[in-house]
Amino acid sequence: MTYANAFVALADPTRRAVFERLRKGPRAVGDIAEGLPVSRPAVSQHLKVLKDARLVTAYRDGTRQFYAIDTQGLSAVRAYLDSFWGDALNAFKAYAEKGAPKAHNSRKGAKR
Amino acid sequence: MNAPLLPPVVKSLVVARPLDDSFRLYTQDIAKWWPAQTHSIGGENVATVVFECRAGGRIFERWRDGTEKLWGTILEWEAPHRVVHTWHVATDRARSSEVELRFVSLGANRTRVTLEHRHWERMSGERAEEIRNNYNQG
Repeated sequence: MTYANAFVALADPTRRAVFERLRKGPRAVGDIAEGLPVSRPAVSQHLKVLKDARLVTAYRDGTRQFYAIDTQGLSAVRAYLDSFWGDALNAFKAYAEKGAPKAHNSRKGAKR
Repeated sequence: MNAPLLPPVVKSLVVARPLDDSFRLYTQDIAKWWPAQTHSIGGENVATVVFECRAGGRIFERWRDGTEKLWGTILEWEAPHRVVHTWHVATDRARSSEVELRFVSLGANRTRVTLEHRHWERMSGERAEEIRNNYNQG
């Protein structure tokens, strides 16, 4: 389940910071680590967790390894929440329009 | 508050009811319409869902055996136009996401309801487990 792994991965503040740096575009490990209060190997480890959770992808350009946001992995999390709230709102609409008493509605408006 | 790390999830629909009714039915009547069988922690054990209609109020599910599972806490209560509440299962509020509901009148019998779920990337590992084990409809 991609969405579960994604939530676990982003629960860590350092990993969120690492992830945040990739929002502006792909970067090499050295660039990502710059200015962060953790070692470069630690950043690599965080990137691995993010990669396993399908939040980021890695690719090689010559001798350098780059990381970028994995839009497909994030799409799965979003899609789940989208359908979760969609279901809830549709259930609300059905109840409000058909199931609920019209106690507070003395005049019947133009219904459509 | 930091800006959201990821874009919020936004859902919107139009309900054929007046503004006041729509707001009241969504909040006060949540137990009557919320799909608790699938959208809850307890599933079939859920007896009711409670939306405490005030700032600081809680949103929670109550099981048949009396167990209560907190879903969130109401941060802003502006009836009948707007509610902002946290959304979490663990009590760690620092990791909770945030839901904003907006109700806008489009006429005597039409209301637009917009739901915005932001900071959802903050949800904790425990929360993710809850989702995977209990909220997943397959």
